Amino acid sequence: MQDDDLINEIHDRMGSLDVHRGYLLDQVADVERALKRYERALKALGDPAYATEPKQVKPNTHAAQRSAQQKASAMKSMARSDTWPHLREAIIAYAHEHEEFRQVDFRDGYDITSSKSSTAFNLLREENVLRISRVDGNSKFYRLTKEALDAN
Amino acid sequence: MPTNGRVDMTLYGISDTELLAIVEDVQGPDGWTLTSDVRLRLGENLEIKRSGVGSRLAWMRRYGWLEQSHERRDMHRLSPTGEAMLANPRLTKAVHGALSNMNPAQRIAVTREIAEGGYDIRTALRRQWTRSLR
Repeated sequence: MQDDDLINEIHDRMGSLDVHRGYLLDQVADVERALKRYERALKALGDPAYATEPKQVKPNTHAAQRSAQQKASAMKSMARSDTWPHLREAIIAYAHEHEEFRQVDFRDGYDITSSKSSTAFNLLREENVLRISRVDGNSKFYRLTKEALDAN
Repeated sequence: MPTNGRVDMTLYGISDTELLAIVEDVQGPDGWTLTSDVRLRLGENLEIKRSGVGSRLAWMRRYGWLEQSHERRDMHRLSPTGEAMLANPRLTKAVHGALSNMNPAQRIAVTREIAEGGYDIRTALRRQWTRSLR
């Protein structure tokens, strides 16, 4: 009989603790909802602590590879063209005169479209004659490689 | 380039030797280069944490082309192999002529000969091969 009483008492205590747990869980849920409301308000007010970073766009590697293939195709076509040797020499001569330069600088003195100059510069990069020296905003600066400088 | 003005940091966007040359360009008097200096040189905004430069440099370190400073994880310098990759890539006329006259079997034999070199050169060869086969 004594064991039965003990069991009943334990059940009663467990029941009251279970009720108390439910009450506490409700309170936690209320507090979390209130915190989220305040966070949304701070974000809307422009608080720097809750400002979200601009979403980073993941580079599309397939598109990059496709674009690279198109570039490679344009480069092969230019390398076979009759105008390439003359254009190549003109760019190299310009590069020897200028330590660092942009494509647009070269185009100022040479009648060529930006698309063609871009292909020509990429072709010279592949030949290890030119290399990217630095990037400033949208401008890419190029210079001769050590190999090209030593060849002169 | 697909990244609207910034350099595409894939192997197709910038070659290993171009990146090594930039590391050499921005090295301090002690020979060490900060990753942030390379990022600035490539026109990246340092406030944007995500960048392909750090991982490219980390892989180059793994390939044995760069060495990392014991004091700072973001400081690198060219290893002797890295320096050799930039030093004198020009083929002599004799080598160029010999390569041009090779039949396909000889070309494969030359590739095998080069590929049996050290890990660092094998990796450089594989990456150049990937970049050229577009």
